[in-house]
Amino acid sequence: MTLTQMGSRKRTTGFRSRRRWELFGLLFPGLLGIFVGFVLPVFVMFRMSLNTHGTGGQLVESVSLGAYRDALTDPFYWEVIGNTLVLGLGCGAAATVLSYPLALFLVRTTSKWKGVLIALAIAPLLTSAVARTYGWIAILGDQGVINDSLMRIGVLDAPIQLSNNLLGTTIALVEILMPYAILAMISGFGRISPSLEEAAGSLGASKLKTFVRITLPLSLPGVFTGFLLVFVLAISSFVTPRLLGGGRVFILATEVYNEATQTLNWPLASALSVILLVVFGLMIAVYQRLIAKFEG
Amino acid sequence: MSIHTAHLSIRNLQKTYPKTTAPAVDDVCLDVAEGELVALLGPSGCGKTTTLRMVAGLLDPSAGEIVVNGKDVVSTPVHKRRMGMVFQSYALFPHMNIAENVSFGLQMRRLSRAEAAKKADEALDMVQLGHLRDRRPAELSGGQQQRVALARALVIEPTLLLLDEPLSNLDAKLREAMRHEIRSIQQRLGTTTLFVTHDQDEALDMADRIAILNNGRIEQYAPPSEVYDRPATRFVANFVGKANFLDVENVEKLGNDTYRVKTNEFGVLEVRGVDGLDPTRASLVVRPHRLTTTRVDESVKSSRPASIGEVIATSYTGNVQSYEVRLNESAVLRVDQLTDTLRDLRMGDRVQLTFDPAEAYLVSDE
Ligand SMILES: Nc1ncnc2c1ncn2[C@@H]1O[C@H](COP(=O)(O)OP(=O)(O)O)[C@@H](O)[C@H]1O
Ligand SMILES: [Mg+2]
Repeated sequence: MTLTQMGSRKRTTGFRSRRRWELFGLLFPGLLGIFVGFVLPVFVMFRMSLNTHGTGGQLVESVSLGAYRDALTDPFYWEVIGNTLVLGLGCGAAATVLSYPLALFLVRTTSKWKGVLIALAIAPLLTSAVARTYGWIAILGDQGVINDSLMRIGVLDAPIQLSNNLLGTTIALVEILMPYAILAMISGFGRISPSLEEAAGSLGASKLKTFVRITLPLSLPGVFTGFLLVFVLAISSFVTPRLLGGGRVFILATEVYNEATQTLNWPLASALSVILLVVFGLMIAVYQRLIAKFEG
Repeated sequence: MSIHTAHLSIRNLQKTYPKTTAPAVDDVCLDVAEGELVALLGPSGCGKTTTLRMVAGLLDPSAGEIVVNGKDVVSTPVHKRRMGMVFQSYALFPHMNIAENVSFGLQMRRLSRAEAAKKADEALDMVQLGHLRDRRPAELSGGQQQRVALARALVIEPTLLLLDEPLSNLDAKLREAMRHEIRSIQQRLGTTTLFVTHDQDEALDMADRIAILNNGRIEQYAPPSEVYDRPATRFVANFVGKANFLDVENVEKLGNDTYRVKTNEFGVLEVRGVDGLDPTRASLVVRPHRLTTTRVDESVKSSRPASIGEVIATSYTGNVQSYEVRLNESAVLRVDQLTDTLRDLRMGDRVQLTFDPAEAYLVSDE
């Protein structure tokens, strides 16, 4: 290496490290916010899960895996974890399938109403989940719109069970979470250029073949993102399972609430929360593998 | 690859886009012989892409016929037309590798996997990209992507090859090389080809015939030399090559394509021109390289029409030296001559311009 090269190299490193401090300075407020608002609570929660629940209901400071043992040896909690997964996967799948054509249409339309249509698609987010859940109770309940009409026209003799169970909760959550899926897919579909489909057509692919071989594979990253978002929001949702489940839908989020506020078993509530976090983490790991595979 | 080529006849083709009034393509008629390469040439927005997309089947015409080998294909959907299309953006499938891109069309035509792979490899060898067969399109340069797009379109042995400004995304050097590559492959395979471009050099260089479009209409459809030497309209003369226009008066028809005209600058001339033009709306085209200059102090009496003026601008592009010469208030002519240090002119020099009237051409002003 010549002298001039060394000189310039030194100058760039000096410049770099100054840049690094500047960048750190700029990021610091944000990092602090994330640390205080996110990292610290998770840490506190994790620490809490290692404590034990005394026989008298008091909190005993300790370092033990007792809460996890309690959670993972009780068949009830395995059912809760199972219900949570069923709810998450079911909502993810249904919301993705229902949102797909809508999102594709919204991306493709050349109508001057495009902006308005997109706003309409996500407008339900303006109402709170509580209000929309009560709406669904009015529709799905035993005396709700569906059962009432079907019984009046004689299709049914007795109401079918659409509320106070996992099915009703799933139906309502799918509707409540669809705007997120639509938004995620709209941004994911941007890279499918219509000329790719035209090229496939000119090469002899029918509309169906073009969809299967070109549009669908290219849209998968957007689909995965939509699915992940709905999955995560569904398994962490509380209001809808609580209200529409009528106390008979047991998922991790509702059990965490019960343990924390009714039984006052905070270590167990924390352990369940950590388990929920692990489910998130696994899902995100799967998602990243899929994305890496399909974005190639 | 065998030859499956076609004769194309476009008849009174018209396209008016929804919510627009003026047609984007207006009464276009075009006959393309088997094995011919025809360039659709015109400025941006003149309707080239619209025409090509209608031929490909990607766009429904408002009126007219597209006849391929004697059969009107307007109602045939795109995937049954068997036309090889190369898009301006190449439109390579990003999730497939090069070999998969090229064999896609063969798979759609239900060739066995092995046969498709074999033909795809042949096509890739034809464009000298066999060694990149396992790469993804994003890992290729623009010129390589272009060649893949060409191989993908040709491998299906298309009845017509349709190219939409295929070279516009390449740099100048590569563009020249690709011109010759495309042309030689096209000639070797004998594939009837429609080639859209806004670059007159490309059209002159590659095409058997050029259709010049303006505002959705064909202004002239002729071989390159005819388009250049005998432009039908002022628009064509201006768009293809460089042109000087002289105002004319007292246009008098002598024969089918010969006229006597009077110009302010060069007096009365006998010239050739477009048959049947409107004498009140005509201009005389003189190409810049047809003009010769002599310094006034050394000028000899010429038998050719001559006019004296002053050099008001010069420009140098290596082999060609250009001058702008002002003859009078309204006439400034451009002169191109091969660089020659002995005849180097400077700003302010007074020169005599002459040309051979047989090389001037009277065009309609439309
Ligand atoms: N989808 C469309 N809707 C309305 N007008 C269009 C559309 N596509 C093209 N045009 C118009 O039609 C004319 C011709 O366009 P085009 O065929 O793309 O021109 P070129 O390829 O020669 O540049 C232009 O004026 C353009 O604005
Ligand atoms: Mg175009």
